[in-house]
Amino acid sequence: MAPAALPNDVVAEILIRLPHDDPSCLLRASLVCKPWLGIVSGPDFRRRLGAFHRTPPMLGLLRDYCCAHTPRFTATTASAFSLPAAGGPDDCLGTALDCRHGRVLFLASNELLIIWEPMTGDLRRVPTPAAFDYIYFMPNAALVCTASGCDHRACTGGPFQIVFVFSKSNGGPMIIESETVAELCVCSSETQAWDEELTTIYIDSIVTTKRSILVGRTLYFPFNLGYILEYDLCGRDLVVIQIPDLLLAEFKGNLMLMPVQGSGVGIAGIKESTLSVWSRDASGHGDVVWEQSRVIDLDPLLPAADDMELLGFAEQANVIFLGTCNGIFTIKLNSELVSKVCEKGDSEMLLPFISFYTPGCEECSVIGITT
Amino acid sequence: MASPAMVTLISSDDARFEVTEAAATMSQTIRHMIEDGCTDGGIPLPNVPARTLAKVLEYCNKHAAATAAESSAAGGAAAGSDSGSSSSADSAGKDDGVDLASFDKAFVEVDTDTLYDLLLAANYLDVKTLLDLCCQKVADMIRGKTPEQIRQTFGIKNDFSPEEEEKIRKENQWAFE
Repeated sequence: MAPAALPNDVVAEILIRLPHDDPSCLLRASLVCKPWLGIVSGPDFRRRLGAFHRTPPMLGLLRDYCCAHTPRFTATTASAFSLPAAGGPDDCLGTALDCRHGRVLFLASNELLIIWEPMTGDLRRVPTPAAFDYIYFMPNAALVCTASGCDHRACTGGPFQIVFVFSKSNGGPMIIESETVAELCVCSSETQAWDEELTTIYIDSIVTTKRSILVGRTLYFPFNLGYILEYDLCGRDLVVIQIPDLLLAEFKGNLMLMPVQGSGVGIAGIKESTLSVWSRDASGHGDVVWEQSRVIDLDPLLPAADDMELLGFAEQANVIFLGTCNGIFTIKLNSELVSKVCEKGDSEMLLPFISFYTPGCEECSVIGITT
Repeated sequence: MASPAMVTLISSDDARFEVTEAAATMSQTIRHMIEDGCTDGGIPLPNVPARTLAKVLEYCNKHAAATAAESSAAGGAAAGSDSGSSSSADSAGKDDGVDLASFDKAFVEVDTDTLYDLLLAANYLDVKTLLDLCCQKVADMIRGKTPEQIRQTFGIKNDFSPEEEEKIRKENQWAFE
């Protein structure tokens, strides 16, 4: 088969059909010849991949993100995969705060945030909000694509927003939870500046470092003591939600936020070896009802363990992460299919990295292809 | 039943093929030519040799017939008032699906030259499902192979210099483990 004779369009149609959850196939194919490398590194190829496969695959996990070093990446793909280096193997980008829509947000220092797009190699720096000081409390932040009508299949390179939430003392000298307020501020990639107004929220609790969840255009940040801060990206409305004491007592802290179809925010909790999902229904007249919407018996699915811990939720993949003494596991919510991802580390905080993989800039720069 | 409308297709090497309009119009290119009224004396396809056209038409005939059977089965099921007749139509439809899938699978079990000709013809004639089928077949042949094995399978010349290749490999060691 002579490569020159196959139109680029046909080559692209072939290469988008390689398994998207096994990036090594596409990388090896891109190294066949220069025309093929040129095709897969173009922006149009990402768009075609998205249109063909619809849902981007989970390529791996950023782990131990709450430490003062760039988090470790653990691939969840069928064969080996590693993220391109951000700027060098020893590069320390900081503490990862969020990973969403193909980008990772790092808190590099008290003054600096870094936004990294691994698939394009793009690195951007944004100063932290002037009022922020994390001497006492770690902040939480969400990094979301804001391209209008975006399906988040190939939104690298597009506009985004950072929603930054942090707790601080309410004027008093003592840092205790009942004397704190939370501040929320927003920065968009277009202006590269924080909105002038800080929004102050009076919650008798501090924001946790657990990842926020995004449901439609609404973000939910988990706070201590069962509080949730709801932030509407469009209307910019803020609502404080409280998880009922009954549920807090039931799960004794082993719970996390997750989206529930048709309801918005919900929680998942584990008691003994039963995982249950509770949805929040606020459609009634002022009444909010929490209802159990799903129960999964983990006993037949996982190797026996008495320390099952909920570690997080991957939005686009619809997957729950669970840690036990036997390792870290994913549970696909659609099929209840369980897979072991890796061994468990000391402190398990993890961020799923979900994106289409395309061989990119580095390979092209080696041979002088411009994309 | 009236005999189906027929059209004549002429390959690049002047072979003439008489096929049903239903089969021929699986090709969007031919459909547009028919709509434009360019059918007098046959439709010339200067990019497709007889050997390849015969193969493409084998595919189109099979799929057009299956589509016709499916729609008549669906019509029969809709017309039938009792559940018995509709369930028999359902199972007939299912058999066709299995049959078509195994036909497709066997259809692309060909040498790489033929597959390459089919790809070009399906692309030129714009037969979407055939192009999909051939592209998936090539993708299945590529997955799991090293760049060198892919080049050998499809006769592609390596135009990277050894230095370029070495550098890219080094940066992406994970893909070669």
